Amino acid sequence: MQSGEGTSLRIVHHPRGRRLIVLMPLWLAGCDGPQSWLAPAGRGADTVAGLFWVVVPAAAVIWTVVIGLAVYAGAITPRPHSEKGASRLILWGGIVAPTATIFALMVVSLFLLRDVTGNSADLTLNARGEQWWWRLAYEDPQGRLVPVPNELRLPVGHEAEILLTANRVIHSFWAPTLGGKIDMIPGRENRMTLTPTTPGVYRGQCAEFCGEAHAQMAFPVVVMQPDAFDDWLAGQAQPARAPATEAARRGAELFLSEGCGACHTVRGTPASGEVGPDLTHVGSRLTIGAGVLETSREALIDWIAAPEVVKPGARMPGYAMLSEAELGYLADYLMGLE
Amino acid sequence: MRLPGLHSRRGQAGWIAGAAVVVLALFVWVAPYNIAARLPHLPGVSWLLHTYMQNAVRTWSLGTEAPDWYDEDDPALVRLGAGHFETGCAPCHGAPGRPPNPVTRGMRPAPPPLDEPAADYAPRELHWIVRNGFKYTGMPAWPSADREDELWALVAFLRDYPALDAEDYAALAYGPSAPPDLNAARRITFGGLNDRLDELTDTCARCHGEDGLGREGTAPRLAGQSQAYMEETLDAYASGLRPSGIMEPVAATLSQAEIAQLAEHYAGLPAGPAAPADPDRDALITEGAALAKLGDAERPSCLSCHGEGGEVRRNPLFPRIAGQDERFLLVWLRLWRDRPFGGTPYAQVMHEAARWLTDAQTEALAAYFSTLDPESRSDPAE
Repeated sequence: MQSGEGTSLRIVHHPRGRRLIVLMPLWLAGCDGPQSWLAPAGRGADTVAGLFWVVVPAAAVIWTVVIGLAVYAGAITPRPHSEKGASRLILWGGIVAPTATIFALMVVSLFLLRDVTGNSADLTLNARGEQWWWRLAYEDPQGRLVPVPNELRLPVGHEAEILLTANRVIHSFWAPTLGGKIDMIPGRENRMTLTPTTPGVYRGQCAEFCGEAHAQMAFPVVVMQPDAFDDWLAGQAQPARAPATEAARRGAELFLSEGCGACHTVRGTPASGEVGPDLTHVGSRLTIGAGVLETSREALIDWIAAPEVVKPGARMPGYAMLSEAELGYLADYLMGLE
Repeated sequence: MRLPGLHSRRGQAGWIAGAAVVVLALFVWVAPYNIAARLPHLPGVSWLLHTYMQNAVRTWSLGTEAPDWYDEDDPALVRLGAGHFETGCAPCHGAPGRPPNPVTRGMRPAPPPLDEPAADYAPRELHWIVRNGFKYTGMPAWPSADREDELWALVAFLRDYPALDAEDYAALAYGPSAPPDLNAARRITFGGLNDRLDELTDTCARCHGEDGLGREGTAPRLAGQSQAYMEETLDAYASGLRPSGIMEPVAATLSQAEIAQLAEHYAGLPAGPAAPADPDRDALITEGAALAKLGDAERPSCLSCHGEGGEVRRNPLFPRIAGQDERFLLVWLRLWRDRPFGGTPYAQVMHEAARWLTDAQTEALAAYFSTLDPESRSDPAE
């Protein structure tokens, strides 16, 4: 406590300017990386980034002119303007110029919006915002729904339509490298389209405050070659693999005897709960806990023992009462569910 | 010597205040007022305190409402209240046909016999008194303010209290395990001489029945319950981890070995038949069955943990609830839903599981499980 207070005091007394300088590299780093709309990997994000790079220089020019005029007005010796000249300045500079600029921007952005909103989707998926994870399900070629919670995978160059809704509170679905964000609203279905253009692994994030673990409500975004994507989706549609090792077999037993199946589904086993994410292929997913931990045996053990440590407010109760060995078996079982 | 400030108003006030503090300190230190319980109060003090108490009970119990499951005429609820009354209240207040323990006559105020108060106070007032107790008297507060189920059982019993004679009371509080003369032989010994387990099971049997089937809804059924679950739960009651005005005082007197013996004893008794399914409630029971088996997007399936048999071996720390008494299922589902409770290490899991149940769903689940055969081999995957 003592040292904590000392630290916070020091921050309070830090000169403001220096703090900004310290934060500068962070700010610049935000322009790149797996979660930046300034590093686009999809048609929507590309469009938005293009618009941004037009608007920013234009705004800089306007800003310079306005500030320049203000400085100039302050520097010259005040002298009365003719009423006619003043009226003309207000009319052209204060009404016509802004109206024309904003109107032009609106026209451009309406056209851009039309381009961004596709209408020839090759792929449909449902996305429901939960507290605090993503209930995603793909419609496979046979028309079946394939649940793939907390991970968005899309084939490059193909338009995907995402039907968005939410449970309980409003969330916002945002994969910044691919496109804009759209709210997920309980009792309403919103629609968005994404067309990825560059294969890679990115990150998505809930963009509407939705409760305690809002910041920990993320998802990996994987843009794949279409063939690889089809294989992947076919794999996800399969029932779970049988446990391959003795440890995994014991984990599978524990999974049922501890009642994990009350909340989680593992297709092909008696576990058929719908409260939490489907775990049929959890071992093949990049993260657990909705983008919070990179999938690994250790991460699964930590998560099962105490989810609230990495994700405050998570609905899953901790299973710290299990022995280390039991947690290990469970993790082995889940890692094997590829 | 001249004292400063004696000639100004403020100075005088300061001297008076200072003197008052000194006198008060002296009074506290010397303690000349005799607080002996042996002596009566000064004239009027008893009246003042008692009147204030009655008015406080009236004022502070305003707004208290009985829960929807509370039925004053439910004999099982009355029996539960009587069972605890015998343990927790009768030693000081006496019971119908039995005077209070002579020791309590020396208390001031002495705990009164309850026929009059039970008749005078409204149910909400009785609830307030039992829940909160009184400062400056020997009346304790209930160990947990959250156990509405227990408090209202006491209230139901107290409502009947004025009309009870010794025999009625013995039948309520002890049932078939009542000794022939309750007043002469307060100690209950059945079976073996000095066999403490026998005594213990008699204490349990007052509410849970000698067959462990709960005396027709007086207390939860224990027969055939999981041994590990009962051990952990008795531990939790004994340590106060699970709050209960009824079970804590009973469990706290038990040794580890006795807890183990009791759990083994009740686990070994045959689970009785479930309540017969009332055809009029088919829809409710079906609704409960669907939720219990499958759950939904908000609520996990009950049978994933509480289901018995089948090919899945369940953790023995999960209690068996098939065939349990309906009122207890309902009350506990709501307790679990409304706040976390201690218990086995899995108690938090139950709180999370019950959190989003509606009142209607708790009713459906209670109806379903109370009519579910405890011997059933249900497979949750079906």
